Amino acid sequence: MSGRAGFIGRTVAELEKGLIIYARYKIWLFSDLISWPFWTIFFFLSFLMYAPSLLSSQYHLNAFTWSFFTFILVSSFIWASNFLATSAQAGILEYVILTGSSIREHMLGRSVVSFIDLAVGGPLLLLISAVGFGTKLSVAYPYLMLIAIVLASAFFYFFSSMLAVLLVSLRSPWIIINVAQFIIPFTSGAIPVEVLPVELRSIITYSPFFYVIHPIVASATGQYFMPPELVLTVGGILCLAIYLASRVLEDVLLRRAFRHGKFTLF
Amino acid sequence: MRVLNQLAGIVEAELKALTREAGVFIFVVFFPFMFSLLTYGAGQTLTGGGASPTQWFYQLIGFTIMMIALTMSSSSAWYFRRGMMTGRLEYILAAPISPLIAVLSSALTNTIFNIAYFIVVAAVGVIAVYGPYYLVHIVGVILFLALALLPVIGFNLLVGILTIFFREPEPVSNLINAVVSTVSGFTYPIILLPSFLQTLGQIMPYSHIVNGARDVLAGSFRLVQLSPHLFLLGYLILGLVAFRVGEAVYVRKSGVHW
Amino acid sequence: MSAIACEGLRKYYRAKVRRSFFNRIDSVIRALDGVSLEVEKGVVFSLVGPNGAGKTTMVKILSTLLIPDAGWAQVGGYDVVKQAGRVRGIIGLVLAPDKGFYTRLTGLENLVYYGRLYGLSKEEATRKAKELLELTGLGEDGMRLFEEYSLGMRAKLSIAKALINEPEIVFLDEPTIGLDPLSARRIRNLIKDLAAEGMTVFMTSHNMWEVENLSNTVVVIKSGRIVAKGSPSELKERLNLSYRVEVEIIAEKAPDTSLPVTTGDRGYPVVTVTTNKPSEDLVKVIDEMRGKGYSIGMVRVQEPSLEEVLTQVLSS
Repeated sequence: MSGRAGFIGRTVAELEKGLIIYARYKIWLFSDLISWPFWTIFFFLSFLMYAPSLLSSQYHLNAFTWSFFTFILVSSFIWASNFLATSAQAGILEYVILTGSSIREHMLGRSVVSFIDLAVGGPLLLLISAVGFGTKLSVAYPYLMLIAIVLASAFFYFFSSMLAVLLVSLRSPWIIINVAQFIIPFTSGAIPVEVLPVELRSIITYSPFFYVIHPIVASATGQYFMPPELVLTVGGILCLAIYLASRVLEDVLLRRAFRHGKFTLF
Repeated sequence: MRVLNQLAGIVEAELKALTREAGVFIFVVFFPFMFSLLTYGAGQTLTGGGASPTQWFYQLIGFTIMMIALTMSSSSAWYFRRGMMTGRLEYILAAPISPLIAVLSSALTNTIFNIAYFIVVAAVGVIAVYGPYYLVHIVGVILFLALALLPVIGFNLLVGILTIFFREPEPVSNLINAVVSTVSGFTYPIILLPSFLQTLGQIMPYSHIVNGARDVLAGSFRLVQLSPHLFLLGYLILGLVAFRVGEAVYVRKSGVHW
Repeated sequence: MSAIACEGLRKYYRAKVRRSFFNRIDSVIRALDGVSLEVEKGVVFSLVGPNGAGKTTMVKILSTLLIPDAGWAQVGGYDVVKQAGRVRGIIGLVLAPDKGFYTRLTGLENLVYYGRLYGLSKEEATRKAKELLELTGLGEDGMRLFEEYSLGMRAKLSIAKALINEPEIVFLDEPTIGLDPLSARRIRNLIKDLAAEGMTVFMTSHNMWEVENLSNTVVVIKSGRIVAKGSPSELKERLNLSYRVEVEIIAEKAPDTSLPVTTGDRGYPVVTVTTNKPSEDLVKVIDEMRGKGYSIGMVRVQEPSLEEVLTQVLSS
């Protein structure tokens, strides 16, 4: 079945499969619940080493809390990139393609786990920050925050599909994923811009990730580096671009797989 | 002799496989510089220019050892998972080679790879902060890491065995990575942590490795500092014992005998 | 119209031969080298040959998972490259019988998942999946997690998956590998039934007895080229393979004859003739023995097996 009905059916099947598997891997939820507080402490103290005075600044505590929130968001989605390599190794991907399904649809089953991670890990982080570090959490622009989170989730869903295609044939994709989950948010606006040296501030705006990560932190602190409309519009365009890029890469991957008999871009 | 041959054979094969993914190596070399420069930049702004290069070096070495810790503590977990998925693990168990040798060889390859990685990053850091004269300490750090990373192999085996029970490396390694990164003093002194987390950090090998490496590179390492590392070798023994137990459980479950 | 047709199919792979750490050269593996064939609707077609002969490459090209370098192929009247989507809708596939499933889903859940990807509703997919679990003999085992399955159970589930979309043509790459004799028989019967209902079955196998018993047409492939084609009996005839005629003589001693005599299982002498004209020679032997006053015991005419055909074709 093709067309919209087929797409909806396949999407529901992928989501249901993802939820069933997630429910059978209880260790996953357990692991997330314990690791988020540890990462929160790690990032807070990595900055505190330079400036212990941060602990007494409610503004900075709030800003950094939201910056770690973006880390959780990026990390949750980016780990889904590992899924495609696993699916190819298990011989599932070939069968899925035979059904007429696409790689993005197939990724939905794993991404639903990312959404759950974010839904559980995000509020947990806010709770830890408030209780453990005494942060008085605040959001300067709640509506913009909502738009920013939706935009970033969509962006990183497509990005993880794209990354999955790039990593599909790697022997150890998890090393790149492990590093990328830190590099991407913290070089692209997760650290509040006003905290960075002046020279770095404009440099990080060249990162495409800046336009989807910065809005989250800036909506909380109220300190947008550029007009919010501009940042969010560019973010929306980039989201569309990454969606298209993920489609192109998926096509390239499939063409190469059909040509060479194995799933690899390289 | 046969065991040595097997070990050398696997290490050679694994090193070849690693060199065919050079992009990963470049990527992990890049990471500590970028992250430490970012926090350094933020530190400069927050302290009004008060952040020092030695603090940057402290975090550079910390992030590098952290990368080593993250990859090394997870490698067995992924090795087991891949093996279980592809059926290779059963072949290894059924082959006339001790599975332990197979896993240890893989860990040894990681150690060689990680020492090479550390040398590249540390050399740049040492030249930038202490000057080229201090590069002589790189030899010391190679010897130090060759000893200090041994307990990590044991730790690695422990994590790997957990994968056999939980069957998924992702949540197991994520959880362990988070705890190890937080309590090991990679990017801040562990004295900033609550006391129970400090104790956890002291029990695990990583804080001793990172502090020792920093001291060797700065030329302030004393031989007495090796003593905790001798105790930490207990991890290697613990890992080996846990491996044997896990192996027995897996064999019982999968029905492979040798 | 044929169910499957192809002409001049060619597929070469590039492989890197690493002689040492720094020395590597490119080499070319000729997986398929100008294969042409036609498969009628509703038949069981077998592709046999040694490992690396190009069987799986052929299956992958016909099931749209691989694009040929040259030549064309049609499945169900659709071009496998230009109309791959249409081909996928009418075929079922078993590639590696132990792979392709989520370990933490049950057999039933895996089948329902694939059924829904093919566009069935949940109810429809569940009903069809349960039916197929019964048909393949998995039954209640369908409620167990895939990771607990034996190789044979996995092979059965693979066949069930290949049938979940009610395909017109099914490709089975070594479908009975790892199955116990009873299960293998069940799957063979299933394949016969499917063909009887009009489904075209394209299979590869190393089990020559199975191929001989199931197939209407057999193609032998070697180094990417077809080296023999026909029904099992045609192949035997064409190769002029000898039959073995055995006539047991009820006597204490070996009969007085110029023909070769051996001692049979029951201890009586057996006149044994290797011939290409079994009926004529059998009559001749019986007449000769009767003429000499001997009583005839058991008579056996042994046909050459497909395995002998394959051995002869591949070694020539």
